[in-house]
Amino acid sequence: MPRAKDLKEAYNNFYVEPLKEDQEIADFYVERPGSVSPMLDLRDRIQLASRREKYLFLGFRGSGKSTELYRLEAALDKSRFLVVNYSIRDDLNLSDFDFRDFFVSMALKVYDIAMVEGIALRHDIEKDFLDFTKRITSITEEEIASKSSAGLSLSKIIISKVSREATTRQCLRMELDQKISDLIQRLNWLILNIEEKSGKELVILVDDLDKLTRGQQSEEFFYKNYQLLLEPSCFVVYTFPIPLAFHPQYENVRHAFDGDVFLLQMPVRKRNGEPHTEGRQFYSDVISRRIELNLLDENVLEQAIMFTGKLSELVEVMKEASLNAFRKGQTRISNNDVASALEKLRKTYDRTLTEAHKKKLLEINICKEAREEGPDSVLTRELLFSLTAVEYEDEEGRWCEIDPMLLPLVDKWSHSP
Amino acid sequence: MEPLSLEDLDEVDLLLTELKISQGKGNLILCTVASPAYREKVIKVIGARFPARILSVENGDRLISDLRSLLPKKEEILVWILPETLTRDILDALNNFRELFYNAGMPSLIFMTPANLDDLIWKAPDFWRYRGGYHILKGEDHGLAYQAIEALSIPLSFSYQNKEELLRRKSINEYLLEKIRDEKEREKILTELGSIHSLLSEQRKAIAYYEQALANARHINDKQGEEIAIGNIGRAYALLDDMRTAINYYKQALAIASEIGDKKNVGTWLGNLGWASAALGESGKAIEYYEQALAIAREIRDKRNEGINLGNLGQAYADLGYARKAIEYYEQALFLARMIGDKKNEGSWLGSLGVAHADLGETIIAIDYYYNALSIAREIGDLRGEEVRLGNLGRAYAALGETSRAVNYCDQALVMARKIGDKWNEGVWLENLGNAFNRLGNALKAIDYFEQQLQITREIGDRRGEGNALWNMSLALDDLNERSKAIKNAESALEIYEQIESSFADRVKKQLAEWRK
Repeated sequence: MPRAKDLKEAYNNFYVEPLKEDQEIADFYVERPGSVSPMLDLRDRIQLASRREKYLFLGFRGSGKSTELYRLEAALDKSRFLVVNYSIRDDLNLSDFDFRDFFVSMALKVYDIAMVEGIALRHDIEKDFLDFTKRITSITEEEIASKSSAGLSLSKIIISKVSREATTRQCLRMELDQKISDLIQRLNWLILNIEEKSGKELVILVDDLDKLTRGQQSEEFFYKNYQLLLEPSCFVVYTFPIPLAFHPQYENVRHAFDGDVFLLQMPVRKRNGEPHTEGRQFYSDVISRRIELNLLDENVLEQAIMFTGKLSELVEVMKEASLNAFRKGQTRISNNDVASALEKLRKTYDRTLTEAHKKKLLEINICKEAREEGPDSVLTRELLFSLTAVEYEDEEGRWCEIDPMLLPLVDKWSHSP
Repeated sequence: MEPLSLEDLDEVDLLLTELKISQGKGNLILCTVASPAYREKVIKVIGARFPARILSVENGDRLISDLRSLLPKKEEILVWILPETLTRDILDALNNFRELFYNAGMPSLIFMTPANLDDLIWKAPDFWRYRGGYHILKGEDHGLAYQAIEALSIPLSFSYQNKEELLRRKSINEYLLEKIRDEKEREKILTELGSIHSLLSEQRKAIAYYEQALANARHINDKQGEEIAIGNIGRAYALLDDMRTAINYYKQALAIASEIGDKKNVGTWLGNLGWASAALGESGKAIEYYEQALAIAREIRDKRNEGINLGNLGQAYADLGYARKAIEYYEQALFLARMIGDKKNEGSWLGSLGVAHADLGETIIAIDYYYNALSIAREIGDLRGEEVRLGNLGRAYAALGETSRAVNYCDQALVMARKIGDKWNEGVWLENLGNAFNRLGNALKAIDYFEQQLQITREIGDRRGEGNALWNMSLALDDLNERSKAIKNAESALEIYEQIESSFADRVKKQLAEWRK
């Protein structure tokens, strides 16, 4: 995808979806400076580990986790590893999500890779797995026959039934209520058989687990059932919602895994407020990969970077600014175009945040830390979840700050009754 | 082009540009509009430019299935309308299946209420983050205009349950005034009579009584009596919409209260200064006054004024566009009004809650609040409150597209405004009625209302209202193919808009240029 040469192309190049195609990565990807890239960290851990490790991969929404997982898949030695990289959003109904559905989908993904790679599974293992899966999902031979004729694989047929039919999910959960270990055992048989037949180690990358929108849902998944996440007998990388890391329970769970790898936002300011040169350069490179810089007036980029300080938000603001400029018949994005995009977002957040949120944000702005008041408090997590508060990392460590876009409101909030 | 609000023209133009450059590609563009009727107008404007497929979102499963079964057409755009209340399954579907909008092969424009937008930001954050542009439309401005007029602090020395009791109290005080000779006592009676007339929306009579009370107070050198009489006169002028005169009186009252250490009334006059400043559009200044007044009310544990200042802070924030923050304040104020049995202000905050919910596009909830507020106004004989709530109901039904019902309520509001001499709002309801009849296709009747509006706005010196009346009339005349008369009226409107530096002038200029082609 070439760099945008005019504002219409710029608008279309500023999309905020993850980079998942080789060409997109080649055109738009920018390496983060400073600390070791999480992708390299995970790659090295997997390639060096002597046992099948489990990792948590943490990052804010829109910080680039999916892109990093895609790069990890590409970077792993194909002669040693067989990679299953999938998003739970592809197959499961996130609105009604349960750890039992999750393991069924994982087992089916593992079964799928055997089919795709042409690995002939042992007949008894395959039959046992398929019979078990059909039984717990109550799928009939007629359903399978009719959908197979439409070109769908068995695993697709089953997972689509689980995803779309609430009754199937209920039935599956009842069936597995006391038998989750039966399913995990069969999953591990599949893994063993695939690794044996292919001569490669299996690596499962589970994307979008951080997209479980309801706090309670993700807490139940990660905190009540985390022991189960350690059960698959292969490498697994689980994406993990960063706001949950601010939950008091996190410390207990973290140690059960072999590593927790963070993809944090690059800061635009240091903890003490001074400009963060490398961070700014990173964001500037992201934009210059997408558009010709002669489409920007002087200082436009600097202004957008300073008041976003987040990858997805920077792209979002530049998209809006390019639309503003295009509409006015300009050939370049001006400072006013960026300022009006920023002001619109700022006003929206100011109107939407409650007094309690604002108070908490003021606290974060002063002490650069985000902690909940107690186990029942959810304010900090809500702010982190909505990205109105962000955690940064640089050579001096980690700290929290409010969304840079909201900084101009700090004074006003401080004087609010 | 449908007559969209002048303030929205730029934003709608930006929206049309975004749709144009997204044609043939998936995109997710959001647009907030509070009123369903106004949304229909915007959709008409869009439909005139692009072939649009309109889909109503009823539940999450249906949305996903609609998105999956779409057959893309290169030139088409998809217009989705979200319901007034977003259920969990719709929010989840939007959040978890947002790619389906991008996969559609044509841009999706999603209409929602301002309240929906708040829900999306917090409860469907991926949908919110992974979108294209979002456009906030303000809605009708000189269409079915609404003017919020709510509580004003009246420091009463008595309480009452209903209008009957108020009238009884009036008659008793008139009797006492004839009998009592003690100057101090007479001052009290005169003040109470002034307050009763004020509550009955008879401000001129109220001022006459307060002026007698002021003369009495000065005669017997009663500084506090003087302060209260001056403040009360200010309040009556405020209720007559003469804010500059009101501010002048309030400042005098505040100076005396500070001088004699009358802390309670320092708070009262600060609150009233806030109210008058807000009415002049100086919301920032108003908030400062209210905050000072609120602090004093809390310090001296004056629940009534605490409630009033909270409610007025809500009003000031609502004026600045912060409806959610306004609701938080109104709810606190309502709680206090109910706690102390302050019926008038209970009605006021209920009405204000209605307005704030209407601002968020929650029209059905708003109507519920208005009916409750109307019922209280009728119970206690608050004619002005009754008038405003009737008009608000008209405004709400107009927003729902129920024009006949809207006309009925605005008509009742107009009758009431004339009865109590509320000239400012008389102009507002006339404008609303004119617009409603224009919408019903009766341009002649609409012009009749705009002419009456023109007359009254000139009488009270409301320049903006005068410009609106002329401009609305020109649009109606054009509908009747009276282009030259339409141009003449539009030119007069333009002259006024330019004099008062209104941004509407640009819109009128554009229309004039088109008409003159």
